Amino acid sequence: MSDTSETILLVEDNPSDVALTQRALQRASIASKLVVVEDGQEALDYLFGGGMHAGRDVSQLPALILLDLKMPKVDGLEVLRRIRANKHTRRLPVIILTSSKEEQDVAAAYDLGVNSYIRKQVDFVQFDTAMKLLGAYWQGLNEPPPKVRSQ
Amino acid sequence: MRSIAMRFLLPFGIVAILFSIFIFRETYITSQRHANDLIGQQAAMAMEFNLAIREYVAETIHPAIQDIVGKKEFIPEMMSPMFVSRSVFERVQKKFPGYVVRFVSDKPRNPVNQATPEELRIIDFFRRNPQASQKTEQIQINGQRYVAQFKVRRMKTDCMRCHGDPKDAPAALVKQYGATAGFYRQVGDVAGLDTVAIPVETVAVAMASEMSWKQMIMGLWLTFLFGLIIIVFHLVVSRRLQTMARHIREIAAKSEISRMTPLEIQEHDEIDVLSVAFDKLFEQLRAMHASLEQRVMERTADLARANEGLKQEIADRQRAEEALRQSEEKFRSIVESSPAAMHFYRLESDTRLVLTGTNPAAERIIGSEPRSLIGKTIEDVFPNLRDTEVLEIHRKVARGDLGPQAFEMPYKDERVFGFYDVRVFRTGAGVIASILVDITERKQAEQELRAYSHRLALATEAAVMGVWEWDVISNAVTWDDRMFEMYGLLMAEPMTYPRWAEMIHAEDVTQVERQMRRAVTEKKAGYFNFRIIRASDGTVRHIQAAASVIADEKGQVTNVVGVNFDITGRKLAEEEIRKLNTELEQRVADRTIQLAVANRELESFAYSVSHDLTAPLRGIDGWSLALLEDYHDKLDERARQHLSRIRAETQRMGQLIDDLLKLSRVTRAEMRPNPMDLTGLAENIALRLQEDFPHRQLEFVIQPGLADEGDERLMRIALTNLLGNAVKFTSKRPTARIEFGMTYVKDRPAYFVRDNGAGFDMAFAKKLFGAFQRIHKASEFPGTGIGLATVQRIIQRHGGRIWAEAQVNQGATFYFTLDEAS
Repeated sequence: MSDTSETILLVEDNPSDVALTQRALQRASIASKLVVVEDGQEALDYLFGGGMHAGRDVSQLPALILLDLKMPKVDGLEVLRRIRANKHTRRLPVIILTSSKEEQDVAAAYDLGVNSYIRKQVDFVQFDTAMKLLGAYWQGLNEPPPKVRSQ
Repeated sequence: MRSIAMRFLLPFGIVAILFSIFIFRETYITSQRHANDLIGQQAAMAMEFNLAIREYVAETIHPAIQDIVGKKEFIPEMMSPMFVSRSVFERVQKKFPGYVVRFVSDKPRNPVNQATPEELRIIDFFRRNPQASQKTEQIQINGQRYVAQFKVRRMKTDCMRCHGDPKDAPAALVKQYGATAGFYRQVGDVAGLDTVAIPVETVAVAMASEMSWKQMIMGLWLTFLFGLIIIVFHLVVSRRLQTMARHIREIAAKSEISRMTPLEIQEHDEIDVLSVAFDKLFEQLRAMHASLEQRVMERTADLARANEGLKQEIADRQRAEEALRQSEEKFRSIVESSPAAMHFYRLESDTRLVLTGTNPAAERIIGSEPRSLIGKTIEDVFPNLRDTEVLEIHRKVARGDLGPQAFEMPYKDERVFGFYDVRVFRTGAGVIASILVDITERKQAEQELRAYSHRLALATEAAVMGVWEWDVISNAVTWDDRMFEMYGLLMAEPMTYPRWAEMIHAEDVTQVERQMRRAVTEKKAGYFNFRIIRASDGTVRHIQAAASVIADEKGQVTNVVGVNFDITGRKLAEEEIRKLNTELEQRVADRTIQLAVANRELESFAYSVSHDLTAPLRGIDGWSLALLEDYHDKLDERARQHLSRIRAETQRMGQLIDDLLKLSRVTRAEMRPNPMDLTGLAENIALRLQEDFPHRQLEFVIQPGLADEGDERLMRIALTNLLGNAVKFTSKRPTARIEFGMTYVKDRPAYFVRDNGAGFDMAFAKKLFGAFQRIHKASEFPGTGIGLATVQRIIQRHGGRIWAEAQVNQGATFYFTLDEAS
C-alpha cells in the first residue's frame, strides 16, 4: 500500500524530457518511485492492466500522474478522459505537464477534470522550481483522495 | 275693467244708501220733533194742572179759609197756592220720579223755592221782555236733558197784600216766614217762574232703540235688495252682454268673416233685439266683405298686370342702359387694361396723320408722357419709322385705300427694342386705330424652341432615343424617325396604338398595357422595360421606355409622351456582368474555403510549434545546465561562458516562440465584444507592473471613467503591452510618468498612452508596428519586437487605428481608436 502510494506515473514520450523530469524530481528530493510510460496507450495499459502491462495488479494505483498532452497513438486528453470515466481511477490526481499553454488545451483539460496544469518552461531553472513546488504540494500539503473500493 | 254693473250699480247703491240715510234722518228728526212735542204737551198739561191748582187755591180755597180763620191767620197747607201745588206734585212725582214741577223765585219766601242759575237766566229773560208770558226750552238739570216749560208770574194788585208791605200781610205769614222774605214787591214785577220739566232721556232711549232696530231691518233689506239687483243684473244683462261681446271679439279676431256663426237668441228682450241686430249686421257685413274681396282681387289683378307691364318696361330700359353702360365699360376697360398698345389717329390732310389718343399700354412704347404726343403726327410718335412702309400703310388705311392690315415688325428706339404684331383698321371716316402687341417674348421663345428642337434632335439622334406621343382620345400614335428605325419599320407606315402593341413581345404586352393604362388613370409618369420583335429582321430587342402624361385643364389625360431606348446592348452587357459576378462569387467561395483550410493549417502549425518546438529548446537549456552543474570542475571558464550563451539564446528563442504564438493567437481568437471598463483595466495592469518592478519609481496617471465596447481579454493584452513598453522605455528616468486617457484628435476621440521615456525618431515610426521590428538596441531595452505588432493586430481587430508620436528622449505617445466605423 505504502509502496504504490509513493509511485508517480510519468506519461511522456520525449526521452530527454523524461530524463530532465527525473533529474528535476531527484533535485527536489522527491523520494517517490517514478514509473515512466512513453505514450497514452501504454499509460492506459498500465492503469487498466492491458497490453504489456497485462496481469499487473490494477488495484495498485499511482499517487500522482504527470501527463503530457501531445503524444503518439493516444493523446493526453484522451488518457485523462478515460481515467475520469473509470470508477476506479476517477479520483486519481492528474497533473498536465506540457510545453503548450494553448488556451484550447488548458480549457479542455480543466473541462475533463484535471487537477492541475503546469507548463514546462524552456528555462530549466524555472522547470526545476516548478517540480520542487509540485512535489512539496502534492506529496506534502495535499490530502490524497480516498481509494475507490471495489465490491 | 269697468263693467256696466260697476258703473250702474255703484252709483245706484250709493244713491240708495244716501237716500235711506236721508229718509232715516228725516224720520229721526220728525219723531224727535213729535217726541219733543209730546213732551212739550205733557209739560204744558202739567203746567196747566199746576196753574189750575194754584188758581183754585188762590181764588177758592184761600178766601174760604181766610173767612173761617180770620184775616190775621195764615195756614200755608191750605192757603198758599204754592204750598198746595207743590204738595200735589210731590205726590205726582212718586209716580213720575223724573218730572219736575215747581215754582221758583229769585227772592222766594220759602227757601225751597230759590231759583237755580238756569231759572235765574229765564227770570232775567222775562224781566227784559215784559210781553213774554211763557217759554219752552231744553235745559240741563243735574246732567240730565229736560224739556222745560216756563210760565212767568207777575205781581198783581191783589198780590200786594201778602207781598207788599208786611204790615198789610197776615200776621201768621209774617210770623212763619219773617217780615222780609217775599215782601216789598212791585206790581208787574216778575214774581217767579212756574217750571215744568220733563226728562227727555226716557223717551229718547226708547226711541233710539226702536230706531236702531228699524235701521238694522232696513239695512238688511237694502243689502238683500242690492244683492238681488246685482244677481238679476248679472243674469239678465251682464252675462249676455259678455257672451255677445266675446262672440263679436271672436268674429273680429277671425280673418274670415264668412265663418261667423249667428248669436244665440233665447229670450226676447232688448239684448236679444241687439243680438239679432248684430247677427243681421254681420250677415250684411259678410255679404259686403265677400263682394269687397272680389272687387279687391279684381283690382289687385288689374294693378298687378299694370305693374308687371311697367316693371317689364323699366327692366327692359334698365337692361338696355346697363348693357350700353357695360358695353362702354367693357370696351373702355379693354382698351385701358389691354396689354396691347393702342393708338388712335385722325387723318387731318392727305398725308398728315395725327395722334388723338392712346391707352396705358402705349406708354411702354412711346414713352411715359403719351398725352404730350397727342396732336402730333405719326412721324413724331415713331421717329424711327419715318419714311418706312409702316407709316404709309397707316395713311393708306386712314384714307380708305387699304382694308384692315396686320403685320409684324421689329421696332427699336432709345427706349424700347422688340417685335410687335401690328393691326391697323379704320374705326370711322379718316379715323384709325393702330394696335401694337409686344411679341418679343414669343419671338424669342420661337427662336429658343427652334434651337431647343434642334438640340433635342441632335441629342435623341446621339442617344439612339426614339420619341413617341400617343393621343389617348384619337388613339393616334406619332413617332419620330428613330422610333421607326428602332422597330425596323418603314417611315411611311402610319402608326397606331394597336400596331405598336402587336410588335411587343407576347410575354411583355400585358405588363406594358397595364403600365400605359396606369399612366393615364393615375396621371403618373412611368418607366418600364419590355421586349419587341423587330419587324425588319425578327430579332428580339430590349426597350426601355419612359412615359409622361399631359392633362387638359380638367385634369383629364389627353396625351402620353415618352421615349424609347434600345437597351439590347446594355442587356447583353448586364448578362455578361451577371455571369462574371457568378464566377467571381464562386471564386470568392473557393478562396474562402482555401482560406479556412489555411487558417486551420496555421492553427495546427501554431499548435505544433507550441508543443514540439519548445521541447528541444528545453532539452538544450536543460542539458546545458546539466553540463554546467555536473561538469563544473572539468569545464574551464570559456566553456562555461559558451554554455551560458547557449542557454541565453535558447531562452530567447523560447520567448520569441511564445510572443509569436501570442500574435498568432490574437489574430485567430474569436472576438467577444462587451462593455469594458478601460480605466479599471488600466489601473489593474498598472498595479501588476508596479509589483513586477518594485524598485522603479512609477507614476501612473489614469483618466477615470473610461469605458468602451470591445473584447476585454484582447484589450488587456494590448494595454499590458503599451503600458509595459512605457515602463520599459522609462527605465532610464528617475521617475517614470505614464498616462492613460482619452483625447480628441481631429475632432475624433482617441485613447492614448504617454510616457516620459526614451522616445524615438519619428523617421522610424513606420517600422514600429511590424513584427520583429525593433528601433532600440536589445542591450538597452530588451524585447522581441512582436509586442506592438500584437497591439496593432488587436486594435485592428476592434476596427480601430493605432499610431505614435515621439521625439528622441522626449517620451512617446501611442494613440489608438476603437471601432472607427461608429
